[in-house]
Amino acid sequence: MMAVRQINLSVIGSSVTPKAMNDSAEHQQLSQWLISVAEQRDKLAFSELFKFFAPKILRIAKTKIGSEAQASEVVQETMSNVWRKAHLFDAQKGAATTWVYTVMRNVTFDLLRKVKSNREDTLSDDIWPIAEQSAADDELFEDHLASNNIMSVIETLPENQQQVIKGFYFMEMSQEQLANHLGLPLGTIKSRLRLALAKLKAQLGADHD
Amino acid sequence: MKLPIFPLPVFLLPQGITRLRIFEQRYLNMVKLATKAQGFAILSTATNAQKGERNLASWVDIINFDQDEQGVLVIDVKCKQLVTLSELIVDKDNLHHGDITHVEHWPERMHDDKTSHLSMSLLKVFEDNKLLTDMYQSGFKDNANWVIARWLELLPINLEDKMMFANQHSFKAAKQFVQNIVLPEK
Repeated sequence: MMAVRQINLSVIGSSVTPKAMNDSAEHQQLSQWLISVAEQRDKLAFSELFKFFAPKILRIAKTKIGSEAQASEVVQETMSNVWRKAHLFDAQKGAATTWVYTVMRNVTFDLLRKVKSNREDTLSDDIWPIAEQSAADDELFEDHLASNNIMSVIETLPENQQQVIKGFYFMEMSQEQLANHLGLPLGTIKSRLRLALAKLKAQLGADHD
Repeated sequence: MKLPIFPLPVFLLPQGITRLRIFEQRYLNMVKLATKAQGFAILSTATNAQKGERNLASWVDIINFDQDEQGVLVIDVKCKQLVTLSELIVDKDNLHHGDITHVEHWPERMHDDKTSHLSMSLLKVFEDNKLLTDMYQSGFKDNANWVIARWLELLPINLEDKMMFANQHSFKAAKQFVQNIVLPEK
């Protein structure tokens, strides 16, 4: 087991220091996107991260794991964790690429472990992905971030996360877009949405149509 | 008839279109099957199923193909009707398939003052949004059901709440709801 871990560590580690990443402007941009995802749940920033990292992760995972399907799984898991854990990224402690590839490495280990243990739940119902919560979540970032930085409560946004990993294009407007479109302050939109939902729920409680 | 299933937290009413990037092998297989046969089902994975039908899905046809810069398959799909899924099976690629049962949605309604206003406002959203214009190549449909349904898909509210409007008898509530958000009070 340790041998496997070591081998993969070195192999993956060596191939994930992309040359292009010497460019500090690009570094900054990536960090900025991660921060926007962490602080504003910014889907556009995430799309950019996805565009940047997904093909790279896929390529690396394919060469290291061999299986196309599992490589895709690594991409999805990694990017989904990036979305959910962006707040754990600390630009002071290292580059965005290092952080993302650490996430990827952990995902890869988990996957290899699962494959190894030849799990019986290969038919596990990911058709209801929301119900699935990764028990291993809290351990994920030990490698990169000191343990004092690991938050005990992890925010989960399964809906968005699923949209993100399935590559759904964000058709739905953001509250900001709706506010712009209607030429109204964001606060007004927020309260309209809240009120309309409250009314709706009262109404549906009372009758049907 | 069994349809392959794509689980995704998205709210898509009849005639609604959405764009998907497909890169997982099993879902590439699904697309292959869907083009040969009768489309596939997008299973809305809302957390709170009590508010809507259980296992409610949008039965979609693929209406457009493309590849993005990374060579990932991009498809546009259009919902032809709402269905519920049952008798699920899993194939060797871990792709799920299910039997479908048709679910009625809103009966056809005529425009009134309010829906006409909402239609104009929606048209502006479409004109300002390249992605929407791109996807809805068959055009903007100026009828009451279509306008309310598209507004609901676009509005930023929880999927769980949107699921209420999958109900066949929810048109009036839906119209009122969109109106409360989009149209000025007085």
